[in-house]
Amino acid sequence: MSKTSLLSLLILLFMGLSVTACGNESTRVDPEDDEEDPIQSSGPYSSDLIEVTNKVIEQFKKQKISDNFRARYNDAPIIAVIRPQNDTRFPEVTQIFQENLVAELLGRTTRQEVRFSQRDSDVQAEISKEKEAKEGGERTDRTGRRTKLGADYFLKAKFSSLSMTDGEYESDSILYTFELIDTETDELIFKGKHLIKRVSEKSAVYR
Amino acid sequence: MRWFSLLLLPLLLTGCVGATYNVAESMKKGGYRQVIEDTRNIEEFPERDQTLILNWRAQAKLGLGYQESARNDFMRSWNMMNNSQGGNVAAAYMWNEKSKYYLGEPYERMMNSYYLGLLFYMHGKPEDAMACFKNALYVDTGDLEANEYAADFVPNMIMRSRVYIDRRDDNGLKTQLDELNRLPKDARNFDPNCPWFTPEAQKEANTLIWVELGWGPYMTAEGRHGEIRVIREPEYAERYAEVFINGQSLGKTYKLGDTYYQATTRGGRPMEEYLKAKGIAKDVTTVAGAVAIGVGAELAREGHGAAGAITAGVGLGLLLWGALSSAEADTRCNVLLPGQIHLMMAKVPPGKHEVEVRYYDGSGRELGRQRQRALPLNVPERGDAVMVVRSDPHYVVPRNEKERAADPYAKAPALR
Repeated sequence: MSKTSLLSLLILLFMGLSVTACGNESTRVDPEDDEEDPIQSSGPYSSDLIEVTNKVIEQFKKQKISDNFRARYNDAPIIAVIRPQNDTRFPEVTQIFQENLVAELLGRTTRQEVRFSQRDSDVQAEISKEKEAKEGGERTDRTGRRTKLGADYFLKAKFSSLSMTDGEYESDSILYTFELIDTETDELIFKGKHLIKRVSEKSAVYR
Repeated sequence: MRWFSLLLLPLLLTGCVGATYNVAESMKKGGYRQVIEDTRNIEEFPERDQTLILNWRAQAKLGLGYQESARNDFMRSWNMMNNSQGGNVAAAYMWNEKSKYYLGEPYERMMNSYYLGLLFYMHGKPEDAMACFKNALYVDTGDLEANEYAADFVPNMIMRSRVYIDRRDDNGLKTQLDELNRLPKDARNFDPNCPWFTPEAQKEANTLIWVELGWGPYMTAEGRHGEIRVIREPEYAERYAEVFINGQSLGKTYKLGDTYYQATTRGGRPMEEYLKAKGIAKDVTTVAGAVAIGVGAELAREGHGAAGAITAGVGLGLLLWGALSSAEADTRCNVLLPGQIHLMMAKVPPGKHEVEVRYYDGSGRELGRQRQRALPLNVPERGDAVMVVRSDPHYVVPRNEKERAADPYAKAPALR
């Protein structure tokens, strides 16, 4: 091999390494398949949240909440999804879970079957302002006095975790629980759970 | 050409360890603004340093009131510090410890989680905040069965208490404060005379002003080969603060956290023993390498050509490893952390107020240059007002949501 070709080979090798180092590829992956996720965390994955959401809806339908309520009151029950309680060590789980749950519930039921009360604090503040403006005559009021929806049920979730490490591995058992509570009687209509345990390897020499 | 390849190999393996970003120099040159500008494109820095630089940038953004942007940086670095397995570990063993990916010492990871939680809490996300505070406890706790260290960072415990109050969880609040009250009453860690460690005092207050003093620890590499990493405490004069709301003194702040204490009270690192061994090996391989080359040359002279060449090659390899490897300890750390964290708690009527903070040295003399006036405090009808302020006259507390969410790189910054 001549000196020139050897040098060319080295330059090509260097360029190859540079391109590999600088390449920022993003790949679309299936949110329900955490095996595809290259990030190895022992925390919650989107697939876990989808599984729990499916379980909530499954319970809701299995318990015939809507049918029983309509048979009794001839009206669809009103549900308020309460802020989930996050006792894991992983932030940013609550909002995505709540948003996904409400969207799935709305998507998989009709308004005749079940109605939802939007209780997000920012929306509540805006609604109060709007109602004040209507009552003060500053804004039109189409249907006369109407009041905010009172919930028949609270749907509440809680995430708890048991986290352990030996310095080399991290293990997190995350228990997702959800419950439907009758707001008149505080009766627990149903409670479900979903437990996921994950172990991830840590860099042993990080410190 | 073979010799050239041999020389190139260590450089590739070390990941070209070079000078990282000098944040102390930037702070001297232009303060937080300089740090924000210098670190605008994180991708320009070596991957091994990006997590640390993100933490510095987050601190700098916090210092100028860009709280939302700071939270994003803390979150990004949180993900790397808690989900990443690091990188360049083999190079750290073989060549230079600084070539490994910075993931932070336990106290730095704890502080990252604490600030992230604090910002989530301040911006109406108490459940995300709770998760961060729990992670701060987790990373600050060792193997309790092996009688190792337990989490003892009081500001984190106080913030967890605030979330329990927000949840109306009296049991959680009591359990958390019981845990706090069981901590050893060590004045180096916190002031045990602080009157706010009871559920009643916590429920009574609706305003928390976290006052941060001085600078957190830095690290030096000492010993013959720099293999001993020493944690140093920078000097700063401020020892406590006095908080005024609308001109009325609320009294002296109480020390609740000490970063130097947190950094120095954890167990030794596994890397330390290895670095000591590496320092010894560096000396031994240099001598052994020289001896092997000598023996190789002698063997060649006596007619054992092949054996002589192999022995000399091994000797040269040892010599090169001894010369090129570094036993120097990794001294990268988050030097922008505060030295101490103090608290003032009070019940303040809802509405807009003005806060003044005065700082004092150990002899009770006011450090007039550091006095901060007219800091905006907005107490809500429900829930808490939480303010973070630092003993730095250039520190900015955002006046409103617009300032809090401002883009630090906008052409006409909304902030002062």
